[in-house]
Amino acid sequence: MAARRRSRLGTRRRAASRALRRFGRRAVARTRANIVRLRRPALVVVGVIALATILGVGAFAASGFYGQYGAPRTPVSVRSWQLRPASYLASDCRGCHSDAAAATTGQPHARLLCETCHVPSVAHPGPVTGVVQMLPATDESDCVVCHAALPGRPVDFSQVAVDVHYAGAECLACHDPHTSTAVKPREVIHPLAHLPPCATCHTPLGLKAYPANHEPAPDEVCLACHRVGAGGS
Amino acid sequence: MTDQPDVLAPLAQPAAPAQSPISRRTLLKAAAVGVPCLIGGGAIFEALSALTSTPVPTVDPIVANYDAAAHRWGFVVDAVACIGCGKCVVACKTENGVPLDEEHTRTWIERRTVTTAGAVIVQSPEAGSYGFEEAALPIAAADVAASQFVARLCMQCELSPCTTVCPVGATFRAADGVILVDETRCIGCGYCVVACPYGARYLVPAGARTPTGVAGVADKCTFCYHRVTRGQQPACVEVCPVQARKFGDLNDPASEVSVILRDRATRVLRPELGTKPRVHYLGLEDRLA
Repeated sequence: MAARRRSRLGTRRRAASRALRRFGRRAVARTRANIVRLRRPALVVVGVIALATILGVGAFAASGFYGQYGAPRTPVSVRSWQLRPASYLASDCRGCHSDAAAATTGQPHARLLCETCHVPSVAHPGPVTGVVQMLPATDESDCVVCHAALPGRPVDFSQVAVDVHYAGAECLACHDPHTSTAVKPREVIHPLAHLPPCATCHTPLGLKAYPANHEPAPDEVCLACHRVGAGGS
Repeated sequence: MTDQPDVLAPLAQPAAPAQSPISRRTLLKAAAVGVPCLIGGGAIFEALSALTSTPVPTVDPIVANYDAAAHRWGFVVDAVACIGCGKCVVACKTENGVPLDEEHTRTWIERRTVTTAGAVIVQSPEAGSYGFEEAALPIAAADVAASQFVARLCMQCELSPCTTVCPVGATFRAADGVILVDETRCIGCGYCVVACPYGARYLVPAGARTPTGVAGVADKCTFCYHRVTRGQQPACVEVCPVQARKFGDLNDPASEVSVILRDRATRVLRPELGTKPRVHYLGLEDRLA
């Protein structure tokens, strides 16, 4: 490599000395100065044109919002925001479900979105014509998730200690989630001092029938709601 | 040759270009013809493609028929009203297809408790999805000095560390202030997850539930961007039974969030970081902020 460069340099020098012999020292020096003078502006012009080309092509190639959101984005890259359907529609459920609407009117749960307890209304069976299916209803855990007494919960918020307030009973046995009002089970002041199992006497057709919406149940189920007062065990 | 005079040495240099296969003259000629051709060709190509394809939206390329620049979304969490029921977390996971576990979540609820001794206990069982009934406080009730539910989500910071560190520009801020993740560009390096001082980001695990259909990319709360760009409220705001989450346009002076931020004392989480969150908290206890 070094040898080659040396021989090239030798060639140049031989050419230069030939030029010197042929045109004279002054002419050679003048030509050289002219070349240097010409070369710099020419390089600048070429550079400017090249830069303008790059920027110009870039400006055409890039989309109109280049720089606004970083590098250009294609419609493909934003599809997740455009195509994702909403599940919670905040629909006008009460427009059709007038019974529930009437029940909640003026009640604490009136301000709730139906979808807060029922499932997202995207699961609703389409435009409502003909047979209407109920959305899956709420279950017990949906009551305590809000209304169980907990540290951290605002003190003025309606809440109960679930292990004290009719422990073991189902919320929906007494409470209607739409009206939020409770039908308080009757408290019993029983005539007998030592009680046999409730179902001994209280049967559908027995001594003292219980309401039709009750089913035969062990004592603890009965006593979960019907507090036995004085005279009871 | 060694006794050549010094005056010949400079001559060696200008002679060199003569040996180049393309002379300067040729190059300049080619440039003089080629550059206008390139520019002209580009212009013709552009004009043709503009004629044949749909025009690039000038206002907002993110969602059609939505002018991001016209909005400035704000969010207020009422820490006094929050009952910690977790309906918002469930709604978020349902609406956005977020994984159901605790670590991978866009929003979560913390119960922050400060003891009489001054220690702070933070609990968030299952991200608060199922409430806090099962989560007993590890201290006696008498030792609780203050306890509060604090709903957490992406703060959509004005000076966001996540967008700063993203090496590929996948996460970016829309004109309305919402920070989004372009899942087609994200390489899943996790820098943003680490950079976020609020822990609001996670990498989507491989599994059935993926918010954007892609696993291995960063994900976070988008203020339910697919909803708000259609004029709806975020899912968590919709379902909150006690209106502890409020969302609205700060450009609208009559919106609820504007009124709250104007009239009431709010605070942001970790203001000392200077991230300027867009999520503001009402009634956050001093000791729990």
